[in-house]
Amino acid sequence: MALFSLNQAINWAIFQQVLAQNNGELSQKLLTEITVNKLLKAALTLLIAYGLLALIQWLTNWASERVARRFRLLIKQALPFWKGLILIVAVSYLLSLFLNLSQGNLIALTGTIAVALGFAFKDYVSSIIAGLVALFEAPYRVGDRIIIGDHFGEVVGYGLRGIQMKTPDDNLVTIPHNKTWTEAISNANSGQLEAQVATNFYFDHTINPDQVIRILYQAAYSSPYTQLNLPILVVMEEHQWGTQFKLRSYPMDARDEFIYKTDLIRRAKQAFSRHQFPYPKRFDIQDK
Amino acid sequence: MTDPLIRSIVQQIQSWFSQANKAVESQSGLVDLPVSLQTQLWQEIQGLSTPMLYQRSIQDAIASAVENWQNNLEAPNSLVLLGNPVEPITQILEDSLDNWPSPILPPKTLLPTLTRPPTPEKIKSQLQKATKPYQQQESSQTVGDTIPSEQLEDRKTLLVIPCLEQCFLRCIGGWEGIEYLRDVVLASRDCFWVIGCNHWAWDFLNFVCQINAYFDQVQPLPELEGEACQDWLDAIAKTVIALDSPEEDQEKRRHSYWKSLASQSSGISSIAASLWLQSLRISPDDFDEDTPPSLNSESLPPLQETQPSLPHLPPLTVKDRYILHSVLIHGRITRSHLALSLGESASIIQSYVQVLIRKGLLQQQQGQLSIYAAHYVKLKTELANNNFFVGED
Repeated sequence: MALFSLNQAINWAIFQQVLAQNNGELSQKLLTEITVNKLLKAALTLLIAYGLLALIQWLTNWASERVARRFRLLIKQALPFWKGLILIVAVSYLLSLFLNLSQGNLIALTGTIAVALGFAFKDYVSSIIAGLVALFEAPYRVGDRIIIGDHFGEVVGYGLRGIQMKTPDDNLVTIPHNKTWTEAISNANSGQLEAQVATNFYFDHTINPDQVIRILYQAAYSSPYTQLNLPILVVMEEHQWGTQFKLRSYPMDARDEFIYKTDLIRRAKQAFSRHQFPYPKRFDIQDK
Repeated sequence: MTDPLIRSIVQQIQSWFSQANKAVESQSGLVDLPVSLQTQLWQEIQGLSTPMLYQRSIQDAIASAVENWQNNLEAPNSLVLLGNPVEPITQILEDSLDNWPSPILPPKTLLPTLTRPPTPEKIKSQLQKATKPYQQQESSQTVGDTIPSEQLEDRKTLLVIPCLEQCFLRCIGGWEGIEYLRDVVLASRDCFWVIGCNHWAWDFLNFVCQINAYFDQVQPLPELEGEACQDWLDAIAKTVIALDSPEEDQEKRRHSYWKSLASQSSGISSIAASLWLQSLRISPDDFDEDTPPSLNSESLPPLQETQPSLPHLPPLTVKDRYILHSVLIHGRITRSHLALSLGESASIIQSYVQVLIRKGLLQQQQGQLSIYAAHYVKLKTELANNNFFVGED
């Protein structure tokens, strides 16, 4: 917020200075003559830009879900670029249509817009800037599986103001880009097809850890969803109530996370029941 | 290995050309062979001995490896021969050993007709039973700890395991037999072990039990060139193909045909055989639909060879891919084992399998499912593009 206020103050000062220099002639030079033809052109430009944006969104989703997995993320990740390109071309054309963009005018215009937007749409502008920054820093990309705040899901849309996430319950959550200024973002796959899945298993302290670890490795190796090219690891942790085993492995497609986890648990539990492994006992408060 | 993306583009371009060729063929009035004639020709191909190039390559590899093992105490005592999942590796090994005029040692085939038992845990006991007479040390000993004293003169046993992929199933405990065999081979150094396996199974076993570390000598089957394909299939082709142009032109045309067939089939014999059969056409004027032509009849009309091309891969669902990948790893597999390997109930798998059989991707022989050879090349690219691990052919 402090940073934003400082920007506003600087812009306002520049704006005042330019105004004084141009001695009132600015407004006449800044705007070009507005004609019906220009208005029609502008309307047509907006219409085409809107249509192209909708088309590119639809086309990206359509194509990415029909190609092989390997190319899905490549197509999805190109979405912000195409949207940005359409917006830049459309806005540039509209500006050139109505404004005389000389150096002085450009400074004055920037200042005016900054002040106007600073007061009226500061959150919106903050989101747009955050969206641009996110394009370069890439804390999330379309197709990534992320956690922001309380929300977890796959990024399915990248708009000017925010992203759309599809949750495992098939809800669409819209989150403004400016959340990246303040919120921690956890990204599971970061542009890759695979994302690590951690599956927990709990046993009594008397368990034979070697047997459990062997079964867990075999469960991961035998699952049809496992990406065998990536490492598989079992780690243990002791608790007061029992022993925890965590199987870390990667499915071939991050989208298969839940079905993969289910497959691992089902395979492992079948083997555990054959060996009759002891699960942790519940503490009986009355007995204590 | 070529990038799957480049391979997809090449296959797409080839597919466009094959479509164009088909259009030309339909204009020339040729039609596909009647099903009965196709079946008869397929049976003829099945009756052929496997390509001589394979046999010679295997015989040479075994002779050289055994000789080295007999002359050097430290030499490896095993040779792994890798083929594609659509190649009949058991038959290739069998033919190579049967047609070997002077084998370096008399081969003994272990578990020649092994198919996975209904419960995969029993594979290990079957292997234990089969290898017991050839074990040098007690199973309680740790491998590599105490090797019994060895003498080069004792090295006179050549053991063959023709199909390693039938010795495991992708499920918990499903590759214990392989781990056991791996240790036995390492310990029994007075026997030479020849093992046949498919690339995909071998790569899978390398992931799960690091089998590559135990076997020093791994040799893939050679790729068939056009000439080798011709040598192999000409025995049948010459009897059914129309040879009407002058001999020199004919020779040139046939040479180019076989070269194209070998290239399309990636040098894999089973694919070459399928493509050759698919490339045959007949003129509709030459036979009556009521009495389809037969190989046994004296008046079999001459057949025409057209440009061979890989068939179009039907669209696949996500589940289809998992099923086909599992079949490729196991080579041949029953429906119940397939369900076990996928962690699904047999009833769920059943409908998918039926659809895949109808699409021509899977075939069933003696209760075992396998991939239809002609689809292998495109299927491999499709699976690689979908992030599955694929065997390095």
